Amino acid sequence: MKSPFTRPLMRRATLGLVAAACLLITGCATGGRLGTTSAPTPVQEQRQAAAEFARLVESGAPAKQVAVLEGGNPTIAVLKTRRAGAETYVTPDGVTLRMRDGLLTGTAGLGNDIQNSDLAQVSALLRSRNGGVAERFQTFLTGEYRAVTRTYLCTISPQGPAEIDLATRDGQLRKVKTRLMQEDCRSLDQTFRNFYWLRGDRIVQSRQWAGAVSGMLVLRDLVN
Amino acid sequence: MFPTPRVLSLAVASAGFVLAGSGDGATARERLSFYGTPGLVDMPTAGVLPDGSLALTTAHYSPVTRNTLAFQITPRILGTFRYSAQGRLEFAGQDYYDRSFDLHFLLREEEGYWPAIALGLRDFGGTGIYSGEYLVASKHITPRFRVTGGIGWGRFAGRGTFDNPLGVFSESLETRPESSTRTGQFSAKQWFRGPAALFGGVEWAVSDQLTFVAEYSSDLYELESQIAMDAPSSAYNFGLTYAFRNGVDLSAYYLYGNAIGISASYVIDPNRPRSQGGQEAGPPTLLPRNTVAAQSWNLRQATAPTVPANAARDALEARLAAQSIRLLGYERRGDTLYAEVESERFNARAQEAGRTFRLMANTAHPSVETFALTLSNNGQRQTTITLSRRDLEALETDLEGGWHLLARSDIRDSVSTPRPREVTGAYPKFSWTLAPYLTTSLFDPDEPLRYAAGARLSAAYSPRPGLTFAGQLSQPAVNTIGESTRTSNSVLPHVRSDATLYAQGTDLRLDYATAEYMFRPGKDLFGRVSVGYLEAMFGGVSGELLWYPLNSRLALGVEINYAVQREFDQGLSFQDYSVWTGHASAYYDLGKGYKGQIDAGRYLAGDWGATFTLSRQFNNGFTVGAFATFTDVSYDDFGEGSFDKGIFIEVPLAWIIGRPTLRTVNQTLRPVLRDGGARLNVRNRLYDTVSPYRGAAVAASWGKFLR
Repeated sequence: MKSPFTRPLMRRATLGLVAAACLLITGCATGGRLGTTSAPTPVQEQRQAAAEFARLVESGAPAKQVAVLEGGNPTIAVLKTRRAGAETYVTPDGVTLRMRDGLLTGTAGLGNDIQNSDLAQVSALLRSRNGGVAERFQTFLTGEYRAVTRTYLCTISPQGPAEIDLATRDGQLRKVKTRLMQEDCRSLDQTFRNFYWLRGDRIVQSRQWAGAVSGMLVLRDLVN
Repeated sequence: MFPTPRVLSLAVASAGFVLAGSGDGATARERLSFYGTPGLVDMPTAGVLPDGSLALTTAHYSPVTRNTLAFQITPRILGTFRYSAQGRLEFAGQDYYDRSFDLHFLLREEEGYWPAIALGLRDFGGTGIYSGEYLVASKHITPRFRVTGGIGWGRFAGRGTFDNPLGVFSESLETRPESSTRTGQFSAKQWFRGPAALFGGVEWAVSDQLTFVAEYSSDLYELESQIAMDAPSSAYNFGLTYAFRNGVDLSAYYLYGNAIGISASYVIDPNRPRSQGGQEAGPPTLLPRNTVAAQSWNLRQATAPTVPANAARDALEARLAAQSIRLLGYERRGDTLYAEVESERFNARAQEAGRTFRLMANTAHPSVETFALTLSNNGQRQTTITLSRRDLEALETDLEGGWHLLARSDIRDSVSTPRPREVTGAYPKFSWTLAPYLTTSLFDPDEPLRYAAGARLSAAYSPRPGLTFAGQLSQPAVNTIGESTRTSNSVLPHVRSDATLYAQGTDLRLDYATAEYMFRPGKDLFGRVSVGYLEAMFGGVSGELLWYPLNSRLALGVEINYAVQREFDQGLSFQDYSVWTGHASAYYDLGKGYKGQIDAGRYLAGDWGATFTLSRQFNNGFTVGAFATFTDVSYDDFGEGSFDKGIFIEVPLAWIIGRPTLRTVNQTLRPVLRDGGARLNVRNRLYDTVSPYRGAAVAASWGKFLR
């Protein structure tokens, strides 16, 4: 039966489409602006970061290979500052990684970042060679701009010796003898497993958790 | 050299997961009915949404369309606005559109043997086509199977009715009075009166995604079946809902034995922006103090005689500029370094402060021990934060460093702290933007969605702090708003109802052109004077004074305006109508993000009255609110709607894109815009410009201090 209401119905459907299109236009409008800027665009921010990165590389600062385990291309993070035991690395796209004794204590720019960490117990056990149980404290920023600290209980266990390949600064691979340590962490609602390859007391390669969104980061020292 | 890094890898790889992370399917979502509220198909359940959720639903079945916006105002109160169409009216040859408001109260949560119990008022104002009240109980028999049963009055009492059981209390409850209420008035005299009927149904979650629902509906669709649809041939409705992980629900229904319907809903949690923590590049990090000491401008003149005197200030200015922060003032007194900055980038003001402090520490001479930072807005000094350099150094990488830094910082009204010397070159300041724009006009019965789109040029020039000349021109490219043929039938001065006349055509128009002075008359006091073409429909003079102590929940303001109505072409000329208008305002922070506001005074049409506003603002700036204005204009004189009211939503663009920006996306939904209770739309009202910098707001955004 041909209803006389088909036309208004179709008009309403069209309206819905127009509304959706408007939302898209508004979305696009956020990009298509000219004029004096009040905030750097992602492109400008990246250009700034790339310039700083190039400057740091040229100065010969220490660097690491970094990759998001799931689906990320590896990139390079180069040491920007070292202060009171905390090292800050930057990538060419402006993400910063904060490390202390080879352990990832914070990130910025990945989204859902770890803001700061207290990993003193983990660090001590990794270096003790025996393993054991450690508490790991990490602060996250919520969507309401509140810093929330979570506690994880972690079991650290030695996994024996392991020979791995590390990249050198000139792009070659070099075999390195290490010992592998495993860390299994658990909170009320999150679990993750980190791996550390140590050469002496130095973590030369690792797979470390960087929060629920980024998941695992793979970090490798670049050796000379 | 390094192997060439592939561009973008880290940020992009993680950004891809952001949306996926925003909808965890740990607990089954509350299903939304054809009315866009927790329910079965047409009938309600006793469910509620997670606190603060905003649910958008669109539902269609043969001539009926319902678009619903529901907001979980508190954990137990759900408010709803609905715009619906029920088909074509025979006589007018146009669709019958209706706007309705609902309230749904959770009386008791499900616990032990007890079901959840809720009470609802559907369409409690408005024309009353959906008017009905219900008391409903829902109980999970198993975690995946929920049974709902309820009793309803009004529209819910269509099928299988019986005498009102409440009649035992009063005989007057047994009959429901005729709907004598005008549009927009409360229909309280009808509530819970007249015959009642029972309804009910079941929901069965087959899996985490798929839910099956069946209900017995007591609704007879009497009005709709008179005008545009076949009468229901069955009381039973069936549906299937698929819950996508990204927050979207799609449902298909078989309704009333003769129709197929579909609905889509999307639940937004304002607490979960696109990116928690933000995707902007990392913040500056503190350098060791001896590295700062070795910077050329901090070496003694003897070893670096060529360093100009202001090199440290220039270095700070350049580093701040890279963060889109403007350095306005800079002065060292003793071992304290004073700076004044302004930025249009950071919606979390603590982030602006945190980045500036670190850059101060990275440039200031090592003998500086204290930083006093003043945050300004429009050249108006707002709030000064004082922090010791040692605390900053000690806590930057501390587990709860942000929180400890807040505890150790001293936050004051800027008026009571010394003003640093103005940085040469900070003024005059000029800025401009050219961008596309889109405006909409909703709820015209002939065409519910009208819009105009085009290009917009805005510019601002500040010769000195606080004084700004600003203007904006719009050039519509397409414009359907002005095509409306409805002319105002208002008996009041046409202060707003001629909106269509203002919107006609695609000529260049001047949105505003003002000279504005923002100043601080004293401690806790803020002042504004604006002159010129203040808004699209009025020009004139506007003066405002606001009293807002730093850590006060209460703020008080007065505003006086002399407004002259502009010509419809929005050029430079004026019409004959002019009016003195103004308000005394009280703003109160009720806690937990709830804010109340009362503005009492004289409105544009010369009517006297007050506007009541209640809103809920999430810490990230996401705001949902409602307002109503009552003036000495009678409901008859006001016309359709009886009084001015509406709801508004403000979404920070930062919430959507995951990067800091001060821009917001706003929408005010008014069922109808008339001339009573209309306020002047002057720009930069003080409470809005000042409150983000007051103590509570700065502290509330402190989580971003170290970001």
